[in-house]
Amino acid sequence: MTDGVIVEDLVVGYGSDPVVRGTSCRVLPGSLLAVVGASGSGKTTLLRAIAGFLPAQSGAITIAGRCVTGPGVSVPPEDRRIGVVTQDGSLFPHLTVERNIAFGLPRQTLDDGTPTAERVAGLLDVVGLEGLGGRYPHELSGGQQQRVALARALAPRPQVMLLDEPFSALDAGLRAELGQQVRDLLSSTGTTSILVTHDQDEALSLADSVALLVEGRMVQQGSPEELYAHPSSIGVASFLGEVNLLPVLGVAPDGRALTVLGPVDTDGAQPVQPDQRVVLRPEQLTLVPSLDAGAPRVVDVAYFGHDSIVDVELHDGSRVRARVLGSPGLHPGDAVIIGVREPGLLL
Amino acid sequence: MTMTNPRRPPLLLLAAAVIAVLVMAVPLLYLLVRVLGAGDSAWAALLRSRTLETIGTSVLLVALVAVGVLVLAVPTAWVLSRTDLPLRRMLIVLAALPLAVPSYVAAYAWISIFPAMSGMLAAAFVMSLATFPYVSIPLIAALRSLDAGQEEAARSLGLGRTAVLRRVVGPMMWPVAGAGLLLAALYTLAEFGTVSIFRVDAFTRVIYASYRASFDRTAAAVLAVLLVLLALVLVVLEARLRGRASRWRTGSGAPRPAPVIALGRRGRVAGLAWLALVVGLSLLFPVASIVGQLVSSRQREFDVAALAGALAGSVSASTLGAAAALLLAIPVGVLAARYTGRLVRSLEAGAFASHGLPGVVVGLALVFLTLAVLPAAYQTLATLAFAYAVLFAPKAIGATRSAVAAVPPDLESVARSLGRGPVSAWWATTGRLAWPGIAAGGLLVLLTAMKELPATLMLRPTGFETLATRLWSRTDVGAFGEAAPYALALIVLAAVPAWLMSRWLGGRPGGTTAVTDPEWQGAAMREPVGTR
Repeated sequence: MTDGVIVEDLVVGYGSDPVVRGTSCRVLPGSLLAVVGASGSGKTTLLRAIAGFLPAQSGAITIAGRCVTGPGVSVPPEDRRIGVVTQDGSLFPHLTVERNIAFGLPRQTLDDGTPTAERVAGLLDVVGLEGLGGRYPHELSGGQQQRVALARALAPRPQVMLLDEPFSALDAGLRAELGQQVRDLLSSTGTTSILVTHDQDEALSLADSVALLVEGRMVQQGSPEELYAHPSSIGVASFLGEVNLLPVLGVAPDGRALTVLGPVDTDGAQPVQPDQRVVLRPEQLTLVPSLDAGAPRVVDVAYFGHDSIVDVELHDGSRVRARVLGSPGLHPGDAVIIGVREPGLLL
Repeated sequence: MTMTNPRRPPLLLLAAAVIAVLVMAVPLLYLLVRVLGAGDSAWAALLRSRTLETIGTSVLLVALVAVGVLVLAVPTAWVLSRTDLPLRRMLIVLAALPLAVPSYVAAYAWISIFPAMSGMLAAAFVMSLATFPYVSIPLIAALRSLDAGQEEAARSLGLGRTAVLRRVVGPMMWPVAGAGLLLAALYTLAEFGTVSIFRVDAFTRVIYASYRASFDRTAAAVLAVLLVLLALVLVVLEARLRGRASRWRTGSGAPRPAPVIALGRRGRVAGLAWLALVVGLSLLFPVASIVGQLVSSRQREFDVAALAGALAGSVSASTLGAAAALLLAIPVGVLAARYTGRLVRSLEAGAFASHGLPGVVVGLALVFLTLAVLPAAYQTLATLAFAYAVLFAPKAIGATRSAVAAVPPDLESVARSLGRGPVSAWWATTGRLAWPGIAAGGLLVLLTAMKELPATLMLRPTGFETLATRLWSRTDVGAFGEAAPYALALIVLAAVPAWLMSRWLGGRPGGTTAVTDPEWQGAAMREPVGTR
């Protein structure tokens, strides 16, 4: 495999306390990798090292089969054939939209003989900004600016597109909409892309593959479903969504894990160990009203319209959280029976 | 992406900045060498009773100016920020304009009407009127940006109106006022023209007199070093207070403006009368006096050729000085805007240290230096331009630094990612976007240098005249009518940077008004009042 991006044992930073400490990951050609992590986890540093803006202490980066960072190799950013879209777009404020997009292109005609102006017009069309080519960046909305930044980065047909939280400055509705459009655009042009984000919803909904970075190390990489359903650690599980962690109290006669919710099915891969915990997502729990006065009681209900979050206090004083579709029909103080919809994960 | 580039600066840029800072330090270092080399005679000069008298005179003058500035600035700032006085916007601008009148021009304006004015009190009076905006401008801005929440919290905790003023507003305001006061003191200490016109034997006048009486040049050098030390104390104190003042801003989000006090009819009349007095004495009187001199001297011979010659002299020397200042400033400014680290910090601090340097000190040092090392350069245009560069490069450094810092480094990164090499990427983004700011810095140096007096007097080629030297020589012989055109030209020139600055900053997105804008204040703070 020679295409795509390969990062091997990359260390970036200074002295004994680097920011990226031995990270490896792989992006298949034409696919979108989302790198997620808390702030300070080194995800932007990783992206800047791939772009060539930061030197690596050790390790290697290969873009489309060419080693751009490695022992004795450090290709400058301008020769890496990358596209970069930053959080605020970083449009050149003194240039019109058209001249921003044309910035990385030859002045008159492209290598394939197409006039530059034609390519720019085509890109304006692709990002849905026909007719706005003569505007200056400050005359555009935030979403439009990001579209221009994307068109500018796409113009020289980069081999890899690097997106550094490109949607985080936008409001929620626009963020989701623009995210989908950009994903579709990148996959239709077959551009290999890396998206850095701290928003796990964005990562899960847009990416072909998700990688979680913790303190400069890649903890897990896999498809969104894999990371969400089969996290390798409690840290990964809780970063990607809310979790209930139920300590294993013992092993039921039928081999199931015994928890405060009673015996619970688990992914049958390994036998249950007593020091493990069962990970259950809120949507894996069901709630049914109970007439039993001794049953667990609802302590809090948060209603969001499309779903509701219900906190329930158990006999031992611990709490679990359940997510139910629509209105729960429950109120604080109601007694409930808690059911488990799917097998939990043992970690 | 990170805003400051954590990488080490390019070696070439670093070397250029180091050289620039060393070049700027040359005059002062030579002065020190000269004093240390003088040995016993330096000690003798230091221990003379005249030295102690000079220190006493300067310190007393500074103290009187400080009192005068507080008396003028505090009520002015309070009335303009916290009351419903009519015409407030216009008055805020008017009360800032005295900064545009060089204080020796104001001194000329007063003495041309009242030829008997002389001595310590006269000098303190004129200097207070010229420097009070250094306190009132930041105080107005600080009082206006004070969050009502803090005062309301204090009221809810049982404090009365005056107790709030004493225990909440006062403690938050004093670092702001203190920093401005120290700047006023610094300029008073460095001021040459005003103290000379009123015959006050402060440092600058004594140093100039010792230098003219060429048998006593060691004494001049010793006094110059003492003056620099005093100025340095003020610079350090000012930097500390400014740092403290910035810490008072707490919390994010837009603060609710503090409530405005309704003055009532009598209060309004009193407030307007006070401002009429302040603006009248500091701004209208000098301008009217000069215009009056001009009109009444019309029948006498009006020497157009001399005026044109002085203007040409001012323009040529200042243009050369501004170019030299930019040459020194650009590497330091770019370095400071884009890189961090101990070396960068100390280079920047070293360059800024000369911002409190009195013109008379640099003038004296360069006289010594050229005579000792390169007699051919003594009293040449090149040496004069170099003096301007040393004196005013900190302004250009500040302008370059903020202009470059205002360009997100990401733009350069993006240009690199689109195929431009490092130099080409810099030109297409940072260079292209920062040059108006850098050029404005150069213009500021040019216009400031045109007003410089003591270094010009000491370093100019024989027969070379500038507007400032003509005003000086005409005033010195009591030819007030002949001096008027030069005074007016200097006021007009001094008003240009203030006007440009307010237009330039006022037109920025965000629409902050020039006077309350902290950046403008920063620029105004570094705009000298007098002759340095």
